[in-house]
Amino acid sequence: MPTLHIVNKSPFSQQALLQCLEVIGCNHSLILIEDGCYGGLKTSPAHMQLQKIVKKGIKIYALKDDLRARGLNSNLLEEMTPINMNEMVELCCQHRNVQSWY
Amino acid sequence: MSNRKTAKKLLFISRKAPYGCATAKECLDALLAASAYEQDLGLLFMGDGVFQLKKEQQPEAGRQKNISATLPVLSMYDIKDIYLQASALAERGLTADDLVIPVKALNNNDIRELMEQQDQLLSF
Amino acid sequence: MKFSLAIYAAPYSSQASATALKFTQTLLADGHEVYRVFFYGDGVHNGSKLTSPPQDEVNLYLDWQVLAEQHSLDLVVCIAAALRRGILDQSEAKRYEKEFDNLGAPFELSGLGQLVDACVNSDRVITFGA
Repeated sequence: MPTLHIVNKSPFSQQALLQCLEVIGCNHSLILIEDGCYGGLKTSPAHMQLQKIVKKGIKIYALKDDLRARGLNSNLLEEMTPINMNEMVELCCQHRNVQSWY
Repeated sequence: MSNRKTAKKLLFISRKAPYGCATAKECLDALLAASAYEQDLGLLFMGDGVFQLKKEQQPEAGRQKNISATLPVLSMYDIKDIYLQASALAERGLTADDLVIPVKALNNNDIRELMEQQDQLLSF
Repeated sequence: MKFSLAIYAAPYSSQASATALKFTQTLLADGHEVYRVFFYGDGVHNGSKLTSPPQDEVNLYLDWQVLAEQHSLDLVVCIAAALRRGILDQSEAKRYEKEFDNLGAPFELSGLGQLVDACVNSDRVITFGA
């Protein structure tokens, strides 16, 4: 059963997202929250790897409120789906376990 | 003796180097507390967490407790499923000979599978 | 589902505690059960009743307090981590001969066993760190 990964650090300054991507599996999902949202920029160090995992069927989400707080409304990974907190709760329910990266 | 049928699989994931922050020590404290609860416990060192295993640590001058001295004691608490991320060890120029205890090295696919098997992942 | 949360981050220094609070509010609004919220590491600072932000800023301590009282939440602060960081209840302040205590109700000091108990008795455990 799949694992849900939650990353709250920007890949421009910290390793959390890149380390998550080393172990994320085909049926897993990823939520970018807080500063992790910067990982969803097309210019992010993780951009190519994120596009690669999307092709493997991994779903990528970002918390809407965190994107909005940071003024991130353009130049974002197209396959990344903005979600609200209710949807984040639902994703936690749908996955067997949850791994937070910080 | 643990009741393995109902025991939950709890994996403690330790990703921080020792001494620079409290996280590494607090992960081990939580793991040792968990050993009293007869669950299926595992400990995985990833990223900078692998530095906790390095031999020859001498933190006493900085008045800190030696984290590597706790590791050989884990098996006495029935904590035997201890793993490390092989790529993290290699990236940091360490080999099995540099470690205070023998630890099973996992590749990233193995880590993925290990995570998927757990009931709870406690990330530090 | 039955959720527990483990919070390792101090309020204000990072966003983690605020995210955890909002997550908990959403869980409850969506009809889920919150078995325990466990504060460990720097997270113990969330329990300080001396928290005094400016009036036009969020007061995370009060927000946790209000949520806990509305929903009878079990807010547990790890005693070992708390004592190291100077978060004491009345009993520990007396034991350590400190002039004041600062752990606010309904936060309560307890051991790491409560975190493990939460893992055993919850369907999901979510950790929030800095």
